[in-house]
Amino acid sequence: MKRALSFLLFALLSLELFAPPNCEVYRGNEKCYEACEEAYMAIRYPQGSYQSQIHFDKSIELCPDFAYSYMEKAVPFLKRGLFIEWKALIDKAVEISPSEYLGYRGWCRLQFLRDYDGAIQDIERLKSLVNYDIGYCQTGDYHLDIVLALCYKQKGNFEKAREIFLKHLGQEDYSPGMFDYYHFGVLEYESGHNESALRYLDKQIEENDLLAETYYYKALANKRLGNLEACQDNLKKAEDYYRAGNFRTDTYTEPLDKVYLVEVLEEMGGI
Amino acid sequence: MIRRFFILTTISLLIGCSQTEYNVGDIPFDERYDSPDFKVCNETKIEQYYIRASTDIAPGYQGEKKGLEREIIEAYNFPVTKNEDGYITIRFIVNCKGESGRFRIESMNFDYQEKSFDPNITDQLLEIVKSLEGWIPRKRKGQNLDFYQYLTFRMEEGQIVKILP
Repeated sequence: MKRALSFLLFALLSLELFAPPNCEVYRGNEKCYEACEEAYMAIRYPQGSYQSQIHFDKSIELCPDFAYSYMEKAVPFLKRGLFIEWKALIDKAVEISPSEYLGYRGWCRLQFLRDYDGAIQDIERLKSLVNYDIGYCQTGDYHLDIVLALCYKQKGNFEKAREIFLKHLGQEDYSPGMFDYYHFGVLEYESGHNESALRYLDKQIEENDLLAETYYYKALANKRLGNLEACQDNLKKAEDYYRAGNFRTDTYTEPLDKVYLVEVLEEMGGI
Repeated sequence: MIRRFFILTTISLLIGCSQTEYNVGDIPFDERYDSPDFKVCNETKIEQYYIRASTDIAPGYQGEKKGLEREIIEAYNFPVTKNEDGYITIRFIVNCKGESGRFRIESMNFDYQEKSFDPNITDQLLEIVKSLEGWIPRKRKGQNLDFYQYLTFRMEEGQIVKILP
């Protein structure tokens, strides 16, 4: 069982996460239909492998407007640090199908390059193009509105970030994202709103009590408020959670608002 | 000069992919630039840092990424050239012993166009990355494995503002 799960994870990380299009849609256009079939051939091989890339090349040659193949061909360049090559390919996908790929490109710019301005441009453009919910980022961790707010937060525009967060969190049908309250709590702490920070960090714990980071920021907010005992308790909890493996992690890049064990320990020493 | 060397290598590698069946990002040994003293355990099975089976012990760095960042920032001397913005990426292999080698550089501006940085910056970063000794190899079924890693430096006015991934 363990071995099966291990291979499943390995396979998921090696293969594509974007669903390929339904080739039947292209029945009227023989070249694009063949291009779609070539894309299916490509994803039978490990992502980024010579064989896979060759099939994507053939797909693009057959139907130069087949956005999916540009996007998928680009992915291994992104994951392996070849960003010039990635950008040239993903730009083609966006050019052909902006509403489909702008949100994805924006998220990648934030996740892999901390290109906050680029991510904001892409998501804002997407919002101007569609009249439906712009949806979630590729990992499913954040609604793209939250991604936008995080970009403004990282740029130091706390007011704009706060405005977007509050609007999103206040929606009637709002369903809390995995880390929404955590990031908003951190934003409130960074903005100097320490009591509000504690409220939202507690909300994060109610929703999802899996992160050492939440307790770390609770400790910092308590320290600012002069509650040194609560600060110490929360730091201890952060350390325990961290040592138990409960902290923010991502397969590809460092998550936003990540805290490391050494920072927790240093803060403990500094009280 | 060194920077040009590596950029040319990267370009020739990418062009060469179609002839020699390399995967995206592969870094084969090139006697023109690579030390023959650096050995990998299994040339045919060097995996990307992010590929892992659930039973693998993930590759990493002593002191986690914070430890890596602190070593780099401490060693980096702010150069005289101040108006240098963009990204510098150094790709390399960490072998089963935790040693690193086969370094390649790619740099670009904030519009993702190729850009040459002041060698005071690129050469310095390359030397710092080469000197990092805390790499922890990936472990599978008790065996250490080689892996590909990259470090991307987001530079603003000659300063490192973020190290990725």
